[in-house]
Amino acid sequence: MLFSVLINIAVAAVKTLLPGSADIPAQAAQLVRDLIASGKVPPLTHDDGRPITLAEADAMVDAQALEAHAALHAGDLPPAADTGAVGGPVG
Amino acid sequence: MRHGRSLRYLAAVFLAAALSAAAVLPSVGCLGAASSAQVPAALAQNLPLINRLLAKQALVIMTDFFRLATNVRTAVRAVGLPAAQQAALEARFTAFQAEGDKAIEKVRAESKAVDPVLSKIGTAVTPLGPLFEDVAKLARGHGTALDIVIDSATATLDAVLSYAGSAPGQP
Repeated sequence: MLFSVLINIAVAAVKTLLPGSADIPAQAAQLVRDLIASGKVPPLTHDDGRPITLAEADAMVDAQALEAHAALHAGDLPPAADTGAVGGPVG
Repeated sequence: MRHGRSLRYLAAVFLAAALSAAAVLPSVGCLGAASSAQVPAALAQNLPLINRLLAKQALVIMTDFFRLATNVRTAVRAVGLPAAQQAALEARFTAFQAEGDKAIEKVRAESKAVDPVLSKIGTAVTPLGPLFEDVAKLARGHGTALDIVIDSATATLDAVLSYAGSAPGQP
């Protein structure tokens, strides 16, 4: 009993000597909040509050990359061979 | 006699205090040593997800830009430029598309980086600027509607570069 009280006193004393050490997780959380507040990062959770997994985020990136490719090539003309304008039936 | 026992008891208490402090201090010392590295470490746990979401957001803006750039080419075709000028524009646009495809894949690859990814997205997207300027130079001056589409595309490209060009929290 006395021993545990002494340990608690010693821990409290050392924590007092190291101000800010208890705030470390809070600082990290604040950095993440700042990133999100900057508008550059969307929320790290779904609308219902579930955290977005890495696999889900990968799928989002892949789907958006496909959409970007499609937007870039939306105005491409079909290849000449497909139009039937060049050449004709062989044989 | 009684005093002797009390003194021994008191000495035992001080000894226990000294021993407990000696046992606790090293572990707290480790916490202190880790304090400077612990913030990035805690943030690093979230960075893989943050990087993916940053890349996805960049790709959303790039998609808007590519749609508008494609609209420029479609509108130029509708206007009907002289054949040589049209061919020059198509050649520039093909080069622009090749660089755009590369940029998309670079951003996709960078999304899986373990360190902050924004500046790398900027590096991937930057080459698109001069290539689109070439397309815009050839396409401008053939109608107000076309010029408006070009202006929109240029503004969206600026948005992509501005998004990727500065880290969060920096001016």
